[in-house]
Amino acid sequence: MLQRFLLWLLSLVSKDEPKTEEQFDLYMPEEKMIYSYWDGSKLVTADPMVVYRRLMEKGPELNVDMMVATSPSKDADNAHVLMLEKIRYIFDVKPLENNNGLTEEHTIGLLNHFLTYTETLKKNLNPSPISSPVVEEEVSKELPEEIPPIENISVSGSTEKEPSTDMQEPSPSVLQSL
Amino acid sequence: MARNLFINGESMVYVRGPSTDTNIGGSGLTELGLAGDPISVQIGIRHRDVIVDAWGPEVPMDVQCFLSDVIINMNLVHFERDILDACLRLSMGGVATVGLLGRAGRRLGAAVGGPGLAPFTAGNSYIGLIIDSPVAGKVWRFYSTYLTGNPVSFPLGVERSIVAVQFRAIPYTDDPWGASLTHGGTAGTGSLNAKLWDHPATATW
Repeated sequence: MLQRFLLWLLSLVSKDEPKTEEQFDLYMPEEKMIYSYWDGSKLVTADPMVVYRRLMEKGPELNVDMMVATSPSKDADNAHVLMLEKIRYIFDVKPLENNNGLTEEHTIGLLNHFLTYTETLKKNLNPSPISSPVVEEEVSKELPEEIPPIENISVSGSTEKEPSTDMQEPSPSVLQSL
Repeated sequence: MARNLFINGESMVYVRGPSTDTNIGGSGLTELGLAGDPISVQIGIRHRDVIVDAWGPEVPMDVQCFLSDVIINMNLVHFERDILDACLRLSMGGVATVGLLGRAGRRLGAAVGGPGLAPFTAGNSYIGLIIDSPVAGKVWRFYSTYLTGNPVSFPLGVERSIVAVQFRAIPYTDDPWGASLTHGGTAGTGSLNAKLWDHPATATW
């Protein structure tokens, strides 16, 4: 009872202080993984999943356009234009005009940047900061205090005889069938 | 026994038809399309055992080679519809319009009832096929090919399609007895030196 009263008092004192990181039950702003890019006139922020879906929508055709654009085909120039149109659709950017919009080189660079960004995101993605501590606590409660060490029965390079499958006990289902 | 080879990388595919053809005629190459993945080349070498009494019935004392043909499979991610139609038209007997049929039994290399015609001349419906892969670094030039069947198209989005096509190359000559050959071979020696394919330095005829 006294402990609860003290905690209540403490909460009154710390009421006006900014909340610590642990008290947020949401993603921190930097953890929202918002993708931002320059569209030629302003900095645009975008949900990377939305951009990714647009990329997947145009992906197969974009891939062909890229192949044809870099080939000796007589349609290479046309494919290059089609490729740029698809990238502009994905990122909602416009071609350079009156000092606004992106050049062709920057448009292709934007796609490359996004692909690198998503690749990096996939490699460095951490588990959710909300759920991980809870899971750890639950797991620690369920596990016994002392976990017996696992015996290493297979020594590397050893010629010691290992238990073969012939020597193992039959499974319960096999026993039932007998 | 068939053996598969693969021409790796993206490959440009060119064709050449009879000189008078409206779509793929002339002396040069016409671009059919771009293959996005490896092209398979299946060389069918025909062998037959030579069995003699002294060797018994199981193992041959020698093996005879009875020429070869080649099956070429490719997936074109970009292609010219008119050129593909021209290949289809020539493979269906060399009629003037795609969808129409020629006379039954017409040879691809000759007019009905006529002698064999030199490749790329009017009336000869065989298609010259060149596969140029910068990745593989080798040009494949097949002299007498035809489409074996219907090109299969797979839609890719709303604009593009992949089309899978199969060609068969045979060692055609205008005179199989070797009396007057204008397309490789040695006079009087049958199929000797008849051309099936070669590897030119560049994609030209």
